[in-house]
Amino acid sequence: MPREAELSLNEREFILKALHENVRLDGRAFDDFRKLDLTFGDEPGFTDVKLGKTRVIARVSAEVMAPLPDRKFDGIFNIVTEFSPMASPAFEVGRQTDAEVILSRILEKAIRRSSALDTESLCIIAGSKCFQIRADVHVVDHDGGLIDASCIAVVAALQHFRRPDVLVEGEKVTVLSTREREPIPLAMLHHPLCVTISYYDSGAIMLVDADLAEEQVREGEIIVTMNKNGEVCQMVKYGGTPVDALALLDCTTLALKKVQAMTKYIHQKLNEDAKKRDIGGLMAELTAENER
Amino acid sequence: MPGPVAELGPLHRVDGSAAYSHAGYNVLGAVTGPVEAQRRDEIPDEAAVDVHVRPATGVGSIKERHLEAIVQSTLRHVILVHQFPRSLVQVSLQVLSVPDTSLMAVPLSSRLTTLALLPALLQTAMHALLSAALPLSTTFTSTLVCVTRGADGGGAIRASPDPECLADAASAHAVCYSAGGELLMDMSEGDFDVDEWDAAMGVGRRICCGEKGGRGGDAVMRDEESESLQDKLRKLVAER
Repeated sequence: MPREAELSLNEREFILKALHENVRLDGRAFDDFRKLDLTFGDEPGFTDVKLGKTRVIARVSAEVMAPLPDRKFDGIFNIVTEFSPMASPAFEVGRQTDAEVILSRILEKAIRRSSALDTESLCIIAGSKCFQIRADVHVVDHDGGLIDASCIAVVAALQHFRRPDVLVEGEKVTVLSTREREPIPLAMLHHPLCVTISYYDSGAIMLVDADLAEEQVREGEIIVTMNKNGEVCQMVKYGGTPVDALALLDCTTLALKKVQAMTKYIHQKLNEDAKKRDIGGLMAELTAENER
Repeated sequence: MPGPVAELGPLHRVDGSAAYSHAGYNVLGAVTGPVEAQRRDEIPDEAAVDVHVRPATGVGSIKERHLEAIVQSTLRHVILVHQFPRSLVQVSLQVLSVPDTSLMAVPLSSRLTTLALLPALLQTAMHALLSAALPLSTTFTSTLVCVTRGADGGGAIRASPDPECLADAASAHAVCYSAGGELLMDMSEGDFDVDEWDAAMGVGRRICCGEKGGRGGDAVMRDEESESLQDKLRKLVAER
């Protein structure tokens, strides 16, 4: 496969010089995200996220399975990320790149290990049956900011997804179809989102949502995952030049602002979609969801 | 049933791309090429065509490998591979959604679901190849035709059937016709005889190429408007 085209020395210098003069090539402010566009598909759990030219599609699906033997009371939740040559010719099928490993690890920590999804609510019969929730992340177009976009896509897809209701009679489990019982949303405890901050000049210049060219010239990145309440789920800095500890604190305040804005946007989009689906206003009556 | 909807060039990192949706199947396709091939993929006198099909959920399995093989062998004969020796044309097809069959009384067999996906994959690949402006010997279009047998033994032929209709059908045929009306590929499944096959091919050909070639069964039903898939393809590319 062809390697990812590297920026020429002139391009690098140009981007850096511009950053020193407080200008980004696309005219954004340093703490601005690119235009975020979130659309939902017809089936529940399908989200299409466009962040500038980056495009990520997430699909959530559910299946009934036996739980893991050491986790009898928990359902199973997996996030699957795989890059395809569609996103960039540099990605090869069947061979993981570093970026792919980092993306899946970050998503795993941000969403699964921060227990955003209440896996206990997925248990049907302890030790024998539970739901397996699977989130497939398809990176379709790559122009930087994959972590942020993928995280938005998965979190939005999980909120959009409806799993079928089940009827338990002793040991017998019946999965009710959408015609019999309205499917129910997943129990989510909080909605974590990632904000990637690229830094230059040992943290003197901090950029939010760098595009691919800016990512290639950065000294390092700090990924902050937090929810709208300001609870930090993870803070990651893989290598790069050292950054002042106080600068890291600034990152969290910056990230909180961004996360709150994005959560609001996702919520608004979900509401719009729910309104579209709620034909005749029957949803409130049909819902089979238990009050928490 | 609404006709197919296609968009050329929705992606920006690849040489050509297309989004195609028809009858509940949504597929995104991308073409990169001709690019330098790796040593192990290199063919001395022609371009290697590499096809990847990725399912909407889960990782690819035997079903996807099977579809890849069919699409690959079809594309290899259409792309002018001899013009680009020792290079690689990479076609990625990402299935985004398939019709929901969970509410059906009798679930479709996996062989039928595989077959029903094939025309959408071929159509997407063709659109993406045109978007990439790769030299081709011909364009092609593809559709699914199924034959339903009535109680009296008479057959009805349907094009682009919905899953319920497909489950009732005696046989299903995924066909692919070139712009000149030649049959490029046919995958048939189920119970049928030569006459039925002939009739199904006639209907398939008319849908793909819009020619008066079909001598269908008792009742030939067509969901499409009079415009053939080939006309639609041509119009889409002309608009671009």
